[in-house]
Amino acid sequence: MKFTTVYKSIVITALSTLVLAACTRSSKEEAFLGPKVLPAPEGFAIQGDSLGFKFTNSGTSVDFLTGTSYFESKFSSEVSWKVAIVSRANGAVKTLTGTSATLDNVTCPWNGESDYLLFSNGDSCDANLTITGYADAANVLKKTSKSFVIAKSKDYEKVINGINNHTIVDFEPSPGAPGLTVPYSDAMDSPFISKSEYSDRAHGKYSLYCAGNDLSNNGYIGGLDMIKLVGLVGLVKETNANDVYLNMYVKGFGKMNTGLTLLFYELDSLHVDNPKSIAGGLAIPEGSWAGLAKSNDKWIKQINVDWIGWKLVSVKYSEFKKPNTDGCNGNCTLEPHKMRGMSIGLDSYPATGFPAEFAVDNFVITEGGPFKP
Amino acid sequence: MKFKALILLSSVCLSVNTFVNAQNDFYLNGMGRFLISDNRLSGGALAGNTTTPNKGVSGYSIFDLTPTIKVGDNLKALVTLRLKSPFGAFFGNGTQYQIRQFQIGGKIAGLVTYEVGDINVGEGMSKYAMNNADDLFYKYESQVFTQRRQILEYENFNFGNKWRLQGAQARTKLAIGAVVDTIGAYGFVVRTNATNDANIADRILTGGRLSFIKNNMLTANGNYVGLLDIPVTTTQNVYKNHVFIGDATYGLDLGAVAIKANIESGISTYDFTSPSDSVSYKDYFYDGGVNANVKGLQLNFFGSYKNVGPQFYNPAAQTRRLNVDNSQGLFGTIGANPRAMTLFDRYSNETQYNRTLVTTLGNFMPQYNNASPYGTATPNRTGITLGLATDTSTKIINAELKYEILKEIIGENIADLRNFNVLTTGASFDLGKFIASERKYMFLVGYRNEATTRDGLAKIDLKNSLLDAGLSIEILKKLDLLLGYKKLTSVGNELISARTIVNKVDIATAYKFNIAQDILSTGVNIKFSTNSFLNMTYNWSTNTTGTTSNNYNINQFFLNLTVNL
Repeated sequence: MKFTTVYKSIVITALSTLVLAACTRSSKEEAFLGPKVLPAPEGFAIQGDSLGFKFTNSGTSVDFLTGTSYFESKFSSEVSWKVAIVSRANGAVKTLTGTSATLDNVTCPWNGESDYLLFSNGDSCDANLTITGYADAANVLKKTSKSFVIAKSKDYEKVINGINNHTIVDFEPSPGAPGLTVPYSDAMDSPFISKSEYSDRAHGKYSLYCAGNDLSNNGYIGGLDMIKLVGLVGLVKETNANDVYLNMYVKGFGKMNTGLTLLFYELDSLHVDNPKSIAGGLAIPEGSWAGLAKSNDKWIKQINVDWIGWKLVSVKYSEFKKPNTDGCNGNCTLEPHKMRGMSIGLDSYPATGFPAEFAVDNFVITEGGPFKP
Repeated sequence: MKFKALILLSSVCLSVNTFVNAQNDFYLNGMGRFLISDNRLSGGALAGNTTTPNKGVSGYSIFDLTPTIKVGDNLKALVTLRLKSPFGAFFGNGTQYQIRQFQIGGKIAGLVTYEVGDINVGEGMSKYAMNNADDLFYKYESQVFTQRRQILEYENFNFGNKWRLQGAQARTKLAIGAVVDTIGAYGFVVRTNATNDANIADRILTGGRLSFIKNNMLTANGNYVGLLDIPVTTTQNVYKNHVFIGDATYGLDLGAVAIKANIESGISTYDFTSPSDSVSYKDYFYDGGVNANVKGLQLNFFGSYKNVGPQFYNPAAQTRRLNVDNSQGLFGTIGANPRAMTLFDRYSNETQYNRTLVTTLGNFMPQYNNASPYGTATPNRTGITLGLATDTSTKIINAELKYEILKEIIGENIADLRNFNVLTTGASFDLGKFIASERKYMFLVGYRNEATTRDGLAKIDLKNSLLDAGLSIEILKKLDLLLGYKKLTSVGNELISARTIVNKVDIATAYKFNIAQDILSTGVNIKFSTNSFLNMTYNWSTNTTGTTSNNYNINQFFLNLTVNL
């Protein structure tokens, strides 16, 4: 009996201690969990059953270079609402949500940013307003809509929230940012398809589409010769590879062994094969990069494009690695401020011998964080 | 290819056989099954629709062979080889060969038993530590439904409430005899996610239970479960979840009444780091109750109280058995719309089960269980349970009545709290035992009623009910007539909150419910032996939502021939 009594005491004490020691809840200071959600009550109505779209600057065109916009509506009571803006051109989407009794420049502003793909100049858009719990007899949410045209889309070529953005290639016809040039491929894997005016795009009018089949079973299918990133000279100042990102929109077609290979070239020094001098140390020398590669660094990153649809991919420059062959001939240090060239490749990756397919659009180099559209 | 597998198997069997001696054993277990179903889809949802397939025949035959080698008590190895041929495949076309499970186990020094490979994890652990639970009440369903459900459980390795995972486990029991009679120890380590050596970490589930047993009337236990990422160089997401639980049970036999009291308490810590969000949560739970067995009445009276914190997270206990987001194998779409899971799918669709743990509270359908969609460890619940049930000494009638009054601890998306009232009852009556007949005459009825309410600006009022009724009558020796009926109704509204990747409550979506689902199944069961039978049933299921254009019926003839070696 004595042991039983002692044992019971030990157990009770241990459990009590455990409970008391554990008596902290992360949520105890909050009134409720998650964002506030108020559904439409009985008898709810949208005033005039309408959704207005206003632009802060006078004039009729929606120009996000000069101003911002907002949506306008009035409700019979405070409710949780959603305004979904969709581009008819490429399906870009921005979703605005909130809980209020009105939509105005305070509760529902929009400065042209997006959640999926990017809005572009000239895009016709539809904005649909839905209210939580405000549905018809078939339980389908009622929509109130407004259409408008974006004259000038949001400008990303600047510092936004501490992130410096530089678009390096957007596959638009001139005078857009330069596209990648001559395609090359493994002769055994013919045909290698690359379309530089592919109309399914993340931004603008075109993207780049590549497809092929790794018949030779060596992994390599084809690629596009690199562009000279003349625009980066003097712009990318960051020297820490952890603070520089390469961002791009990539469309997958569900082919699980599709590899997108990215190659970056850094200019550490000139090679004697290329005698052209660098004026002021800033200009890019003309001529083949093959010669320059002998005394400069080349860095590689492979991405397995195993999804379906468009996706924004952001890669830290520090994730780039030395290639297995023909790379790291400079100072073998990742130096983003020395980026001078880029090329891309289509591979059968991670397994060789498979067909591969992707589309890419809007390459942006950012300093200070990944691209936030 | 198929002959290679047969040659390999024959070689293994032959090789093993030559090493068998008086101390070693080699034996074969097997299971063959042939399933075929003839299905028809009809109803208002198909009006004017000429593209949706509305009939089809499907099925398969499988043969699972499990050779087992035992070397004394120290080593046991088994592998289950499967041949599966889909219905309609001639001369073996489309036949699949797979290794269904592989396990090595044994005993070390006569004290520690262990298994490595494909193992069932969680034996004896607290339901707040490890639980693989179905949120649907079907304890008193007819055998005609149970036999279908058992096919799913076999295919998905659902044995009790354990999880089938890959790793290692060991257990031991030591007789001490001093302060305690017996100390039991159980531990396991499994891998739930594999690294890609690039940016996805290995994820390891580890845990165990330490038990102290005195006189079988007093036990004290400690449980631990940890789900941890082992990061690689460029891992983007790092996840860590630790759960510590202590529980104790004390029994007292007063002669006419035997009383058992139990108390359980635990804490969880959760850390998730990702490029887009990083969070840390800490929370706890406690659960205590008393059970009084009145021997003269052959009844148990029980009551308990629990408080499970809103951020008490444990994937090993909260991962749902059914994944409601999976597509339906039978008539997966109607027109352009995917068909949502129904009562009929829950016991007939093999692909709806989760086979691994998920770190985020999964989506659920409130019409089936809104109070405890994640099992006993459903977070953000507090309240009492009262009830009574027949005790195990009754062999003819089993019955229970349970009432739960629960509510949320903190509101979701609004300060007002949900209230849940759940009545669960059921009974089975073995007429055969009652009249001392050798034949089986079993009658069952079960009922669950659940009411969810919330006042304030975001009102909720949802009423769910589920009725089960059935019988199985041995009309001839080894020939059973089966009949079963299920009815689900769900009326009202609810706001269901999404969860982010870090388990934060996100935006809620409003739903209105006006659902009625009926299933009537009838058939025969012919027993060849204890575990071998031929089962033929016809099933009528209707699904109505108050809108004719969404209503549909599925009628199905189902044949199951199962032979166990």
